[in-house]
Amino acid sequence: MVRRITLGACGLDENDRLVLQSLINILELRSEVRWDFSSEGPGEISIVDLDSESGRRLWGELCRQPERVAIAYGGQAEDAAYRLEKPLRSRSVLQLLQDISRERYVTEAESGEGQSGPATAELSGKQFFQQLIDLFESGTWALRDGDRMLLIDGPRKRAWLRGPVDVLAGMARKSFARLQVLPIEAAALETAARSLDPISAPALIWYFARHHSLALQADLANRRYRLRRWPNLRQLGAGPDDARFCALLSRRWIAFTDLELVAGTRDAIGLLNALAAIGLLQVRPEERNPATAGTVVSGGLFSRIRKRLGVGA
Amino acid sequence: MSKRIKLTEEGARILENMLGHFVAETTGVYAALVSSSDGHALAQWSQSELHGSKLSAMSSSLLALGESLSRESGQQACQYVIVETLDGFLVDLRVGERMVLTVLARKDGSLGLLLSACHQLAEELSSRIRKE
Amino acid sequence: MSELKFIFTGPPGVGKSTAIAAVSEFAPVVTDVLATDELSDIKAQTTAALDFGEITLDDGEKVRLYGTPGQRRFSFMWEILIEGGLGLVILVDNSRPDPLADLDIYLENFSGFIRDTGAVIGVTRMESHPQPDLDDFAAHLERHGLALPVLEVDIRRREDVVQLLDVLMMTCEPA
Repeated sequence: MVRRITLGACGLDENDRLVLQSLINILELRSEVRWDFSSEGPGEISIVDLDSESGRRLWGELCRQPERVAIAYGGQAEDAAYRLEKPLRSRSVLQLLQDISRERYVTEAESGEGQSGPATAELSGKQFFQQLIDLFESGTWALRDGDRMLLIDGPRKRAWLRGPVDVLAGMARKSFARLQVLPIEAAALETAARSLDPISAPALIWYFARHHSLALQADLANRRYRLRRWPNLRQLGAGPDDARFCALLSRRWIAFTDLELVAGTRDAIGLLNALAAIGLLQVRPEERNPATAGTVVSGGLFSRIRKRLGVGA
Repeated sequence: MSKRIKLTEEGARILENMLGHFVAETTGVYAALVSSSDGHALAQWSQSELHGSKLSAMSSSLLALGESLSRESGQQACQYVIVETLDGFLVDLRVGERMVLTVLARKDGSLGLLLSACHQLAEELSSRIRKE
Repeated sequence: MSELKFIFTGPPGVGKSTAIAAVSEFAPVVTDVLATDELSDIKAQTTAALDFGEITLDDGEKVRLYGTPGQRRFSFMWEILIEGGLGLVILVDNSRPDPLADLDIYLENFSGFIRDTGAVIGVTRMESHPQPDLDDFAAHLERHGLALPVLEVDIRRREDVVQLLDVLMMTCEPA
């Protein structure tokens, strides 16, 4: 039988919650359990941000409930059995959650059987994009999220947006099911479109994928990635950092954790999403013993050159 | 006005004759080439097989480097770039503004005489070309 | 340890000297000679040996920037200049008759260096000459089995040259 565990985020800020939610997808594909995510409040395993007031309040309660595991994050907590350092790093989060789930929730008998099929969360991420791409196949559509609006003219591969392109980021972070997708008459679309800004289909797909917080790649952490072709970043409306991140993927197979080191977890996931969504990403399984990479000295060197030129981190 | 250098067949023959005379009459010299300032081969005379187009490009680079080096060192206009080898000398110098003379010599004669002969040939070539 | 050295190459007149001048902290060393061929119709002088500029890092270490001559007859200088280099900037002039063929010259001649280090392609004069576009360049590179960065640049602008170097360094970054 597949064990289900709820992971609760207690007092975490928006960014950390999204990172955790993404990592659940990765974890689900690696371990014997199914994970549910509770973005507000405790779960069977809770990550508690002790730098926030609500986190500190929950911490005392959780520690009195031995059936629940509380992981301290930030702040001071001598009574913590498990701790995570700030900022959240996927490698340490994954390792700790995997260890705890093995230790406390999965018996040996269970771990050998009932391998879960494709994870539902990952599928829903894929479905999200499949649906978005499907909208471009036929029909005319209006996507609404509060007063954000996106109009899609499927047959003509055109789209319009109310407001700056940033509003897409908010829409993309929602699950597709929670976005209102309504068919709209072609004539009504024409009228409505007049007051909106046009956006190209590839740019739209790119933008949605780039800001979608869930990984679309199965087994994200156990693969290596490489560009098949350099993307037309200007046409896609990509930010200046994307050129740097893409450059990293342009000449060799890069592990997720290496991209994450440079780009941060959310941007690393978003970038791989976006490159995959426009079909420019090559993926291969991680080798067990990856060859140690080039000259370590130049990592520091390049950052010094950047500093002198006044760019980058 | 175009700044191109295009030698007529006649012009190239005159240059080659002058180079031939020079090679025959100057002690130790066994080859001489005229190239454009930007490294195109224009004329050559040699007692042995030479890859003229390669030597022209390299002479152009070397002379340009010599001139940059003079400038950066705060010295007056570069007269010659001289390469001394175990076998002999290679000398590069300007012919007017738009050409380069390259002379290859064995170590038979003195470097001073060689340079003076090169200088004189460059002057002659330069005035001859002005006339053409 | 390797020299801290980047190389700029590309066809004559593309602006290699200008690019180096845009970021070097002193007026670059140039080896200009008078052009005497078809180039002289558009440009009086051309680089015969090299351009050289420099950036000093906070700890005093120098990053050296070299420009190559553009013409293939000077390819012996290419060999000399890439020795010990950390990466290559290929500039392509979109106003020339066949920019993709120009690119091929440098991809071929520097293939070993590009494989071992890294490269980035900066396309100039796209505003007046939009074709081939960035997609055409990327597709062309893909046919060579390459996914090198291709950026539109105005090499007179320091920030554009800085971006080229920044992206180049990312391609060379150890995995």
